[in-house]
Amino acid sequence: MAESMNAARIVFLSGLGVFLLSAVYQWIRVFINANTEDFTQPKGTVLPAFAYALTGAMMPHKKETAFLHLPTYWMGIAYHLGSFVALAWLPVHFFEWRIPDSIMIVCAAVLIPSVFSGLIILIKRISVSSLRHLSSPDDYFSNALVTLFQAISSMALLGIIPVFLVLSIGGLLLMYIPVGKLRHVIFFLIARFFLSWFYGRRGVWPPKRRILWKKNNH
Amino acid sequence: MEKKQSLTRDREKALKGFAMSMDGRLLAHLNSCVHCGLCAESCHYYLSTGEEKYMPARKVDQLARIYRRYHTVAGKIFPRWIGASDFNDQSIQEMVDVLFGGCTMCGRCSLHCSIGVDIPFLVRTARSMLVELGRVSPGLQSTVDAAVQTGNNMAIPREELVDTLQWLEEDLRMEVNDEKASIPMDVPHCRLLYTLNPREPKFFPLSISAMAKIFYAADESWTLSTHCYDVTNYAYYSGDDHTAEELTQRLFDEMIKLNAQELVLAECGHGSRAIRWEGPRWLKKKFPFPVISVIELIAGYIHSGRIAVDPSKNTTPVTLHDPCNLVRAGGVIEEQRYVLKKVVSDFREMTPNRENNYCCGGGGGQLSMGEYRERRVAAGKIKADQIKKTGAAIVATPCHNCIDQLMELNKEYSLGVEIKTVGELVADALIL
Ligand code: SF4
Ligand code: SF4
Repeated sequence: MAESMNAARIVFLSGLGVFLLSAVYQWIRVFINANTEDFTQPKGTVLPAFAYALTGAMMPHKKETAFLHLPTYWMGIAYHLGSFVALAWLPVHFFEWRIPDSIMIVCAAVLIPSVFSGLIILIKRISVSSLRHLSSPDDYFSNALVTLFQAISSMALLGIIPVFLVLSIGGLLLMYIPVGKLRHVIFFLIARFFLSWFYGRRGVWPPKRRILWKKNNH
Repeated sequence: MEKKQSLTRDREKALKGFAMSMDGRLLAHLNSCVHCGLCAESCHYYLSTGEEKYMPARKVDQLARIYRRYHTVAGKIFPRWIGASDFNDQSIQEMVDVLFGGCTMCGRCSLHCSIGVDIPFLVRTARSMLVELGRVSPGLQSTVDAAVQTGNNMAIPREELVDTLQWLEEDLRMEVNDEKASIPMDVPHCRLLYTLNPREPKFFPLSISAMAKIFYAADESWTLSTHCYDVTNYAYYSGDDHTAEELTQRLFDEMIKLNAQELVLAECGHGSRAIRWEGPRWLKKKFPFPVISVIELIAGYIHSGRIAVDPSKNTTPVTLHDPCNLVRAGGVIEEQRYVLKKVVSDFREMTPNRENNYCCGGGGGQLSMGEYRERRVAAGKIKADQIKKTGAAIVATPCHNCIDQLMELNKEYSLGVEIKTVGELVADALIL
């Protein structure tokens, strides 16, 4: 058991290393090439737009991709929440910290709808023609890997399977993130920031619904 | 490692240009799509045809798959696994078909994208690659060429423009019964230099008269240039940065030459966007003069009481079409509403509206790409349905490109409406 655990720790550390190296490399690349010199005469500001991009603009009543697909939206939320919970447990497993049973049960309970969401999203990808045509093997694999990781995490929390399995799968998942579409983890905030730059500077985000009168306009 | 197909010289050049343009913004947007497919219903092409190739995510992938193949380790080793593809005949043909022929770069999909991928930005980047290959749609390219060679995209000779402006000036004098009313041409040191969409002198001179009447009522110090007046910039649509820069520079130089204080952009969505929001990047400098849309100017006139208007002069129900480039990508959102509520007595919003509005289908250079006309008109069905639902008899829109498309939709879908610029409705409501 101790040997398996040590091997799992090595897999986890390797995965974490690959993920961090890749993320830092990509962030530096973006930062160095950020090209943020903007010569336009602004009609709005970027930071409130960024705040809006991460709050109001993500709300289901504002986002068409959400309100037209509410079940998928909520499954997506559950799925991402589950991923964060499962990832947060990895250091706990690694150091074998003792955590109260009640917390473990709550986390396992959070992971159950998340796993089901992952499975339904996967089935949807396989069965809906437009999604199938959009997908490469990576899309199915990424979905399956994350769902498997969540399922194993919840089972480990309930003491059904040994912890070294979670650490190993978690390590493999971290290692795989930079390869395929899971890399959106690295780029999500940056993409949203650049979109906020675009809409913020032009006064589109956050929506104002009023005119800021300037003297020189009349 | 799966061997890459060999590249012709121009394809190499296009890929090199792509690599050179790879700044942080492009990197972020190329790496963010999760293929959730939820954006499909945000696109008027997909909504009206149901064809999967028009899903915004598929358009993202047209470029992202090339990026993955040439710029990621996984794409070089096992391209099929991550959906990477060579820059070959097939991928280029698909790019031309969908990115020129199936996207108006309206940006509605980006606003709602689960992640925030700037899809029109990626589409334009891909179009820039196609510029290198000489694969720009011939109609769009000839519009760009006309602007470069003749100074305006409709190749109107200067004498013809001057003639038109002169008879419009005579009409204006008669209408306002004032011999001093004028349409000033090439007058230096005015407060405003006003631009035109060449469609105005060519097909819709009444929109010039309307603006001249508004300027007259406001007692404005303004001029038109007969040498460089074209507000449009179709090189923005074709993806040709070099030409886009040249066209912007000309207008910039005209401003300096005439020593006007403000540049006022006519009712043209993409032109306003190109000059105001993209131009400074092309020229790599700040404009030393304010650049505003004529809609902001008119709203300011009304707000300050510089012109007086009477909404009872326009009693027919009016709805508003929001041009994507002026509204979603230009931030002129409330001004046209403010103006219309002051000048018409029955204003009706379309649903959805403002930054959520659907594209009319005429953007992205589609109006000059005759080969895709059928798709363009089909994609406009969403807009036609929106208009019908309002029950309005007049559709106002601050964009001459949109006007052209709306006029075609009007015929095609038997809408029975009149299409007008905002300026025309304001001119009709003026109290002189
Ligand atoms: S930019 Fe407009 S036309 Fe192009 S994919 Fe997005 S919604 Fe469709
Ligand atoms: S909504 Fe955004 S992330 Fe999802 S498929 Fe469309 S472009 Fe990609």
